Amino acid sequence: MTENNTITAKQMMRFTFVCQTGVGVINLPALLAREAGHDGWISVAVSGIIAIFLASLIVVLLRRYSDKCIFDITRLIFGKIIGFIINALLCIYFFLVASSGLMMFLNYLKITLFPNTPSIVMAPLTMLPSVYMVWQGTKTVARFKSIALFSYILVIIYIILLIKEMRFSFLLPVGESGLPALFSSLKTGFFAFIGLELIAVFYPEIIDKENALKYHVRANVYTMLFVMLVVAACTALFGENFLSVLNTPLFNLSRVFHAPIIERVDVYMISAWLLAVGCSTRAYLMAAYYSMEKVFKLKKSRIFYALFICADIGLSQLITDINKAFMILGIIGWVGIGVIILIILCLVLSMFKKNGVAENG
Amino acid sequence: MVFVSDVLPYGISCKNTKEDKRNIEEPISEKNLRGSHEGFIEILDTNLSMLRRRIHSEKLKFKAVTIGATTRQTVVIAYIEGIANHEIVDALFDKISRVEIDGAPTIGYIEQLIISHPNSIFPQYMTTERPDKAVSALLEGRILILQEGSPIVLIAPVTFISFFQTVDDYSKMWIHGSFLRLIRLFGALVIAIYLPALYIALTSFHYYAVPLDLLITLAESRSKVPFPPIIEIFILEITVEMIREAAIRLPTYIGTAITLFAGLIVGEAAVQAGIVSNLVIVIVGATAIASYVIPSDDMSLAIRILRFIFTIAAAIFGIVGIVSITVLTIAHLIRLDSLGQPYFSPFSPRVIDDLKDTVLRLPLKFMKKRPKTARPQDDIRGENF
Repeated sequence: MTENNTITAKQMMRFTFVCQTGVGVINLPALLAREAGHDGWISVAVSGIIAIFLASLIVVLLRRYSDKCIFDITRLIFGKIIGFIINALLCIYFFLVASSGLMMFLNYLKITLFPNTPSIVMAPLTMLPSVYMVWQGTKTVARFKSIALFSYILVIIYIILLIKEMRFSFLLPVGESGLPALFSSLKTGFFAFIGLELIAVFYPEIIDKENALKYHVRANVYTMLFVMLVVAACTALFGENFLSVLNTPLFNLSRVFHAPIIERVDVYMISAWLLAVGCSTRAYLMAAYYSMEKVFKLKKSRIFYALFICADIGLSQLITDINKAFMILGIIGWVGIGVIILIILCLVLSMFKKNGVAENG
Repeated sequence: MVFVSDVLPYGISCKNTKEDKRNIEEPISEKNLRGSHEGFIEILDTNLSMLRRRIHSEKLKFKAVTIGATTRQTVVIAYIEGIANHEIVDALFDKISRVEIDGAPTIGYIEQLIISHPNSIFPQYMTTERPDKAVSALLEGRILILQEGSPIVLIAPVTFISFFQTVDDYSKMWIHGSFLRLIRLFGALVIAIYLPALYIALTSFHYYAVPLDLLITLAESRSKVPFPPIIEIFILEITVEMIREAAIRLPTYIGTAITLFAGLIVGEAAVQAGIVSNLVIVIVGATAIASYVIPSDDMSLAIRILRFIFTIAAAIFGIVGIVSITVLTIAHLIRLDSLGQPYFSPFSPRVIDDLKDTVLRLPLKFMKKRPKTARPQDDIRGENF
């Protein structure tokens, strides 16, 4: 635990919430419309309940080991060599999520505001805040999340303004898509909750660990409610058929409202949401950097950090097509589910292999 | 002079020399409408007595340090015992004691040597020449630094929002105070920083976001100007900065004439010569006025530097550049501290109790608790407050 990395459970809650919702929610309504029709919000609600349960289990595991993060726990359970391999894979996962987040960010910029600017030109500027904050440590990154909540308030106000334009009959009849469709869409709905595993990385840095469970559950409840709101609003506004062919429904939503004087509300709405997208990407970038320092026992070095950032930008440039980027995001989502399962598996194994478990764990 | 008494086991000595000193006057840079018109002067003893006259309590403490290997100047830390956090007082005392310098002609030398982030554009200690402001700070648990030969007093720890608060905010009714605070924040944070950057972003990249009626006027206005918007803005902004600097150095009567000449004639001539458009004159004029509403000169300077950064970012990346630099600026504010206390509090880390005196200044009955910025030992202001 270092001074620059310590956070409170409440800050971790915001960290998780913004991380889960920033990137995923932009196209999730369309994905759900393709799989569950107008019942996408039900899929999010059910996935949310599962996510809350899994999030609670993760905190229970972390409590058993008191002051240890997932990297320490895997070493205790699987031994040094296998533990190290698992940890290295986790580092790669966090790094890939950070890069794919940046890739999505740049693709969104390309299709919304800067169609002619090469993404390699945009990447350094968009990365600038992240480069600064991640270098400063988890405390700065987590504190910034409370500022990002401004974007969420703006979206909620915007949705309220759109109520007159919505046709709630688009959401009816409830449950029409049927159980099989709903069941198969659960995995897509669960993608919205990827990010709940990050607490396993930063747990030792939480000062008030006694509140960790309460706030982690809250983070997932807030994510569930927010994503449900966006999915329901998009469905009620566009209808499931039109929604399913959209690429970025959240941004399309911002083009619906015609405000007086402000000619194009979407320019400002998209810009404001970029704040949340940046925060979401930054959360994984922080996790990746923090993990690498821990797993590979690296000292804080400017050269390594510069290489780390260059690699992140370089990876984000590999795919410049939005459809392929969505495909990558889907794969990352599956790997994310795998990571959550791995953490839960650690909890189960900790019941049998009590090496390192706290006395009151 | 030495005072000896039969009943006291000690004697009291004091200087009784007549020093030439400036009269106590209202500070030029910190005028106010409803507060005291006294200002600190260059004599340390007079400044300390001004504080003593306002706080009749033995808990008002002064800790003296001698600094300057050659000048041997006295620097005094003032605080109220029982309110100020003693850890912060000790930390500040240590910091000042460790200052190694041959002499400090102004208190700014000490400030630069003890701040935690000397490369930041944001001021981390607040300066004042007003005793009433200094007393308010003491009552909030903050600490003052006074220096022999300087009429400026440093206040620490402070937050970002402290630089937008004035004594008048509290001496007026809360609605009036809140209104002025809103105007100040809107002026500083929206107009002074964003207006030129938004103009550039909209005219260079996102012209489709400009309302159609305004777009026609804008196009007509810009049609005669050969330069891109960034050059237009820079020509005028740099001119305004030069006028401002010239007005400070010149005697008042010439300064006024220069300002008038520059404002009226240069601006008009620049439009007629086709160097800048009408709209840019309006924008730069509005931003210049907005910069003046910031009570602190240090913060005003920081905002002016930021304006240039935002303008450049907007010229390269439009609205995304503005968002990116906004995020970077806020991240930097979150990272900063003033004497170890978070600078961007109560916004982040959020301190709900302290939000009562930020964007709005709520009625005094809500101010029973001292702000948490200085981690005061005694949270409550007074039973009958």
